[in-house]
Amino acid sequence: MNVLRVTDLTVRYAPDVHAVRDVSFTVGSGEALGIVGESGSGKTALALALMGLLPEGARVAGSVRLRAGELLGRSDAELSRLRGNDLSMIFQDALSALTPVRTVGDQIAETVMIHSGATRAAARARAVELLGSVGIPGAARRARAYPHELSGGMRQRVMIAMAIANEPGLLIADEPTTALDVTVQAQVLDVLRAAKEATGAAVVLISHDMGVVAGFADRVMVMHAGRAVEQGPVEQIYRRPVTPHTAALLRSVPRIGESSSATGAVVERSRRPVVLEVEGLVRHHPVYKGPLLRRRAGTVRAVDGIGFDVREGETLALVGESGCGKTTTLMEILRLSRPQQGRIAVLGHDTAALRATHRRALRRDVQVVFQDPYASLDPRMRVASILAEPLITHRVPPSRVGGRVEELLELVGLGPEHARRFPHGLSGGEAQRVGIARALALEPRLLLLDEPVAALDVTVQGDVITLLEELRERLGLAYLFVAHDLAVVHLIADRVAVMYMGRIMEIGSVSEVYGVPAHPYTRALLDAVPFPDPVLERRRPRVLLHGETPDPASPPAGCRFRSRCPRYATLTAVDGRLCEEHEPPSRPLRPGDDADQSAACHHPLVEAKAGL
Amino acid sequence: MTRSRRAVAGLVLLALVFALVFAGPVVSPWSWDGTDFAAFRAGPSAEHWLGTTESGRDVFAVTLRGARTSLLIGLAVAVISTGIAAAVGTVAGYAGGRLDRTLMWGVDLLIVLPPFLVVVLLAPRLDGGAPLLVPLLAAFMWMITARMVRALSASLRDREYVLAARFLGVGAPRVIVRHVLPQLASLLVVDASLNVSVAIVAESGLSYLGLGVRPPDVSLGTLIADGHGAAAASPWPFGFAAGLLVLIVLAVSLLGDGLRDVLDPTSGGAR
Repeated sequence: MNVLRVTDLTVRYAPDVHAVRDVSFTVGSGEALGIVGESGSGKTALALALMGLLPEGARVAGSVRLRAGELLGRSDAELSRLRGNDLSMIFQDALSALTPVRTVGDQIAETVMIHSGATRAAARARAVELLGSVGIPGAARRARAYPHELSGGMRQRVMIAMAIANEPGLLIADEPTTALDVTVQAQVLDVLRAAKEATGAAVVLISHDMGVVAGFADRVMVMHAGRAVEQGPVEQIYRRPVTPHTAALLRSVPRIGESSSATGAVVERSRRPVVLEVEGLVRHHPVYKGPLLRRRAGTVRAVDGIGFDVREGETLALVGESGCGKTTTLMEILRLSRPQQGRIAVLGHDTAALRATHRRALRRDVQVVFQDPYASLDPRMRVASILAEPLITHRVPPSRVGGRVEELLELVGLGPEHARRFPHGLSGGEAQRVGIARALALEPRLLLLDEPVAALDVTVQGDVITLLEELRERLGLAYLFVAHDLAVVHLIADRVAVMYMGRIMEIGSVSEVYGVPAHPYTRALLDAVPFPDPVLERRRPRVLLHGETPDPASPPAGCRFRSRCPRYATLTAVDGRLCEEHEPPSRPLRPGDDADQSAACHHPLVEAKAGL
Repeated sequence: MTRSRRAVAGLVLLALVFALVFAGPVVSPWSWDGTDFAAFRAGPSAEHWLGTTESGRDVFAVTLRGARTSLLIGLAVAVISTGIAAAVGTVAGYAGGRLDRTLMWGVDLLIVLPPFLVVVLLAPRLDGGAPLLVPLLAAFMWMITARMVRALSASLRDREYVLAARFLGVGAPRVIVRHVLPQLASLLVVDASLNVSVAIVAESGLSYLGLGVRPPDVSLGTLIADGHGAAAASPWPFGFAAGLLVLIVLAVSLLGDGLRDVLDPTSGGAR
């Protein structure tokens, strides 16, 4: 039986700006429809139209029928009776979707009371019950927490609890896990799946992530420029896409298991010069508390003693979940000054010993590309002035600046006509190319990349990654690449370092770390990445991590991964003692081999070679 | 009305006021400090275009003179105080650390001082009239803005394009001038345009108490103060001065409002 039937839905913002054009689909009860598409394809406008939440001035035509009732054209008051009762929505950003000044328990209870007329006490009890059902430990206590006191994953669970409070017939989830780390994303998707099964609701899942949709949806609708270009059962869409647009979308999704075509290094690694060397790097932030006399309440160990090296012509990726210290590491290197502890050497120069003029000169060799291409370009400057800035700063003669700017634009695949644009007149991919061009202006030898493709659409991601690969080969660069997306890392990196709470858990070549992960955390991270293939995604065995990253101000004693470690949970008390009492040092797994994989684990998944 | 047109309207209006103020005395047969003993508190006539005051001064000539004084004081105070605020605020915010704390400590100290008391104490000792009034007023108007500018600069310091410039090796003064200040331009322009009217009003208050512009020199403040008592009987001295004040403030805020949008390329229009 169809819960939702949408026919010829059209949404216009201005007379000739169509956000959605003639979209028709149905969703049956207990069925999950995945809507995928790039940003600007009309996914969110569609969801808002279903909920009747479009901004004023938007014109909607067509029909949206929920069970037997038409939703379009109803007054806001009538819709309010339906919203939260017959249909409800889960938003991407739970922090802004929850009221900051009321406890989460109250907010869920409110939803229950408004629609069912339950007493306050009954509604409270129901709220606690719901929080328990979405897997929040200590639900009664958590119900009294304010949204900001909960982690991102917990907040998203609260949103799901609120959405299913009145057992709606239809759940609309707009990018529900986009803001979450992969391990938490896997947990939240499981909760959503369980909620769907428990309530028998129809689910519309909107996502840009082909992997998430592959694992969750029964049917898929692909949107492009406001139109539904293709829809059908999930296997059919993924295995035998009909339209070229769907095929292109699927092709551009980076997958683990496909290695990069170009393994840049021909010369053996140990013979190539070291560009960047980091040893025992530490960055601690003091935490102060108290209103008047601020006393030191603890230390956040953002980076807690890490070491690695990057050699010419190679890419080392630092991966890990948010807050693991990967970006802090990058910033410490970029400062080019004495770290709190440890040693950083760039091209053989110890940064602690640099004088101001020398440091300035060294900046030519170390450049950075940031995550958000728009945020990293001054909105008030034209592309030409943005690219000229590094040249002028390092005293390139003015007569040569213009020519060099054009050269740089060409190098990153842009035309001279882009020079006159402002950043906001560029697409995301173009803006990121400008960011890369600026970083290359001074012909650096080491490029630090902070999630350079995370903010881009998948089809654009592929182009930028290819560009970065090409540039590395042509210019003989070395990359230090920070990312949370393991599939992207697999595509671009030669070596990878997995970070957790300020430490490197495992480091080695990509083929080794991805092929035979030794650290339980690496294994779990790889398992959590959704795979863009509906059959494989549902069948493969995996280890899900429990809980979330502990408070970085008080990591567990001994091994800091202990509190979430699936391996530790299976150890005997005797073996477990080691994890509880000693921080595991990073140890090479196969000493003597060519390989240089090391892991910081007392009980690695791959046994060290006998006799060593 | 579009934004750029608003700026043009403000500019035209301001230009008209300036033209009136500086060309008026040339056209008028009376000088601002002359007295006509044949006409006290007279209405408009062919001889006195807007009548005369209680003391027989020509309203047209004397009001233009007052407007000139007020306008110059207002503009000078606004430019100086906003300038100090921008300099102190961006340096403190961008530098952070000890320099930031020292500068903000100074700002807090000045905020605590009661400006009116200080001006009342200082003004009679330094008998300089308008030229002295400008730095005195400016010295007490920049602190709040400086604090705002500092907070914004501190947040801009961590923006990626500012970081990018720093990691390119661009020096701190240049980063402030090229990347931080332009981002604050709209705030500063609006602040300056507000300060013009605040300064004109403050000046008139002090002048009313005999602490600002001294007779025989006049400002819009002294004229409004003198004229408002008799405004019902002879509306001209009060009405013309008050009208000019409103016109000046309106022109300056139209200009400020328009400029703010012209200066910001992301606010639509210019692509």
